[in-house]
Amino acid sequence: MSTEQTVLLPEAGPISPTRAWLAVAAFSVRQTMRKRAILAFAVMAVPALLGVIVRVAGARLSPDHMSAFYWGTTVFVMPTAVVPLIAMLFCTTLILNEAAEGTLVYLFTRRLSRRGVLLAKFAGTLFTLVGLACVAQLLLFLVAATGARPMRVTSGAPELWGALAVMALGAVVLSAIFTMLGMLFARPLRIGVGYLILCEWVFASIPLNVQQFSVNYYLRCILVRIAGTPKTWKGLRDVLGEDAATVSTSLLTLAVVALAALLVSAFFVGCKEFTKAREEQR
Amino acid sequence: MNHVIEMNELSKWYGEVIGLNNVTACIRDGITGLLGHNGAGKTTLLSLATGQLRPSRGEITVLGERPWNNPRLLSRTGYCPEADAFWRGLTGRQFVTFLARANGMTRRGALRAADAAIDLVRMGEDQHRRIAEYSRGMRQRIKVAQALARRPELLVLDEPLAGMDPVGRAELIALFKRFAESGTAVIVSSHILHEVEAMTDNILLLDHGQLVAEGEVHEIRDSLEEQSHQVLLRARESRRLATLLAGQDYVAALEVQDGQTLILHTHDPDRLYRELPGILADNNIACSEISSPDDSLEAVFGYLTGRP
Repeated sequence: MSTEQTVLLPEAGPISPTRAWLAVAAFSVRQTMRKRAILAFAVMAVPALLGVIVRVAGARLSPDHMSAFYWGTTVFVMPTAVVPLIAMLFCTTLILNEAAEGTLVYLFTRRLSRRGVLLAKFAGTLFTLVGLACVAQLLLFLVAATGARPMRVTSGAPELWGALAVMALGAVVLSAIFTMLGMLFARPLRIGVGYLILCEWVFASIPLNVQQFSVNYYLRCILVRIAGTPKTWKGLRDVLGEDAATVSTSLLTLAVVALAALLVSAFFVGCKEFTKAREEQR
Repeated sequence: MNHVIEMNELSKWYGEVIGLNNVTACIRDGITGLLGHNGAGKTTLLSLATGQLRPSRGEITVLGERPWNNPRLLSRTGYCPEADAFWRGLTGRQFVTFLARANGMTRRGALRAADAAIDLVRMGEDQHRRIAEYSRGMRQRIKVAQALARRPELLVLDEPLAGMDPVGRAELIALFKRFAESGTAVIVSSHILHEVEAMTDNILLLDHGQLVAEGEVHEIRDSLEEQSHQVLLRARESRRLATLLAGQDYVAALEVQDGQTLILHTHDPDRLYRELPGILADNNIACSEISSPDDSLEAVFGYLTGRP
């Protein structure tokens, strides 16, 4: 670098890939909420709205009934619909959106590998998604645990911190899966919807071994095992079948799935071309 | 002169569509103009040089390294893409600062670099406005600023002057020249000939994905032996001069325009320039101008691509 250029521009100072990674991750947190924010907030508010409706419609519901409602919504609605929908909305197009808008080229010409960019964007987006999933769970808890005839936080009503941890875990695993679908397919949102309906809704509802192909089965196993079942339900067998997975099996399975999905995503982002020049030439 | 980019039998195809076909060339220090019509393969070449695409065949090296997935190399280059693309909601300063930080700079270093780069492209007054409110020319300037902010050794600029007003073009051209003089290699793509001509004589000419010519404009023109050279002569007695020249064996064609202008086609311009002063002096003809209109980039481009 010549002396003249020193006059044109100041010294760049020390360059660090870690700083680059953190900058992209922090930027992703900010950008995530700019896209599909209204839809995400709407999905996030569904469980709390259900709680409000139940409270208004069944004004004389006992605390046990409120506990059962909270339990049912936490076990069946949150990991089956709310967390997967939020993850799908943001993660299927994690990289493709940037590519389509032409901004990916800025990130792919920085002091950060393609895998680094993907993981930074994933981390930033995940941070937001975990926040959204936890806020949804917290709102549901507040609706159920406050006001007239609040639920009793006893067996059958998973304590708040346990439920929050499971929702956060669900957000991590489902985000990794949807990110992988986004890397593998040209129209990932359609594939994502297909995955959601087939695996997380249809398979998860069939009380056979196919349940094990859904993420929410393992999340439900953890929730039910840590919180038990309310009095109105006969027990674990009634909910998840005869041989529901243990907490450790569920955690291990989810960890393996998330890691595998991230590895596949990282592999594909490292060898795929995303530039617009390709489309223009076509 | 150092070789900044080397391409060896470089090809890139998209399915059945050829983006770049068997290009072997070297790009050296200074400013190099990458010229070609839309779809000629300019953006493909620059995308290959900045690691956005992988060669289908052949090899490309930038500053001695392969650019595909090479962040260490890419952090030494500044790239201004053609696409008019920005993240929503950012101000110009936020955009340049974020990209400087994404290059691994400290927060303070990134702010300093962004401020300096923004000043260089004369966006100081508008840096705090949202990019969505910018004119096309301002957006081009801010894109150039993000490329400059990292103090690159190589600047790759894809149509950086598109949509700019004449004053803005002149300012950016002057800035690119300053960077080139300071030791930064600059590659500028354009399909507008006079833009490139204002920056450099050194060009790479692409057409339909193929390298048509490379080097100095005049050298390329001289190499086109089968193509007759045009020489323009302005003289009061242009018709008499035309009669005198018509008998010379090196003159291929003559055309008298508006009484004072004579367009002459020759296959041997050296001989014409050698003998013309004698003919003018012997016949007492005053000639006010001798020029070669087809020594311009536009003419060379037209000859080479067959699209004048």
